Amino acid sequence: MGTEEHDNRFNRIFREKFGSFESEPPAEAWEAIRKKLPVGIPSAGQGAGWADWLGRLWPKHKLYPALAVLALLLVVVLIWVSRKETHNLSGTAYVEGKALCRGTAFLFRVHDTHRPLDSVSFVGKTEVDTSGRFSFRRLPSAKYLIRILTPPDGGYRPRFQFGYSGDQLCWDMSELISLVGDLENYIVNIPELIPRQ
Amino acid sequence: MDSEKELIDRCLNRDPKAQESLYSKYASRMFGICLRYAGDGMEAQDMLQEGFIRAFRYLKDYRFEGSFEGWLQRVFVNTAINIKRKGLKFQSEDSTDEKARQIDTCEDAISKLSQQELMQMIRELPTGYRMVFNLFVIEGFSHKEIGKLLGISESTSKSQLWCAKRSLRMRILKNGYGDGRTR
Repeated sequence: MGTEEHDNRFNRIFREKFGSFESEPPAEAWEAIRKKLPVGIPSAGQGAGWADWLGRLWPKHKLYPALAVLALLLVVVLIWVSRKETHNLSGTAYVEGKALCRGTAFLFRVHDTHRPLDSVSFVGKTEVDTSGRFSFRRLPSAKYLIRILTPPDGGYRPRFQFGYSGDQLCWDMSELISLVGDLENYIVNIPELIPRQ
Repeated sequence: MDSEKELIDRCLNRDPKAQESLYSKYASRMFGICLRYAGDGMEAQDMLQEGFIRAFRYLKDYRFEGSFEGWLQRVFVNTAINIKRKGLKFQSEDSTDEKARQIDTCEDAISKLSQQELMQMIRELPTGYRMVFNLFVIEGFSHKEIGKLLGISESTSKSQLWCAKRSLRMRILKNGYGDGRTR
């Protein structure tokens, strides 16, 4: 059975198991819902009032000064952010002990270390050079993940495709990099995606 | 269908008994959907509550085209997405060789597991994996559609699904349900 057939069978089994899955909710659930439902017979056109209310609250002639204030605030925030202390993060990517020749490095910032998997945001990407070197500059102090992608025509694939900081294959097991100063020699070893039998 | 139409019409007129009848008819099925998307029982109850409130609010938009259960199911799936999307972040991914991502799956072991055991494994998945897994495998959305629903790229959706299946497979193997190979 090919891998696509395995995948289709896997999907079909789950769909059959959960296609009609039911579970009795707690007895008090309906009461909580009922209290939040509107009562009384609805009148014609009810529900359009909120649009009128919004229009009265925010008339168009007051919109432009508000936008100008917002733009000014944005400029102030950008100036403040750019003057914060920043650091550099650079390192080398390896495949089977040898420096990776070209590729792409991706940087992600972790916002909540208690929920790292659900709080990651993409920061940027950079090229990995022929000596496996990559570098990210002017980063604020924070926790980060790195992902290295091998080049499609470098002879690395399909065995070696990508790797995360901590030499991991999946980001949920990757190592968080706590950046509080310049970090110059961070090493990522790209693991094997398809192990030899 | 007429009796259901009559029930819906009475709900539109805010008949409390009709609303309770509608709830009683579909609550178990919709709670099952909420349990698949929620991280725990409390969150599932919140989803159930919000889902039914939305359903009653937008009941006037149901045009009696297709089954009402199907319409209600879409309301609940959208509710789950809206609730979970608020705190959900995905990394962006470049597309990778799809064939290299395919791995053997332990379907025989999975087919022997009960719904409760599988449900527990799904709920233990990280939120991002669980969302994509539910939408692709069980609801049947394509990766392109999932990308639009969750605001992610198609390749991110594919990699999330791959990691979800890998994680499920590891849990099954770890619990000794199979060796991951088909007969």
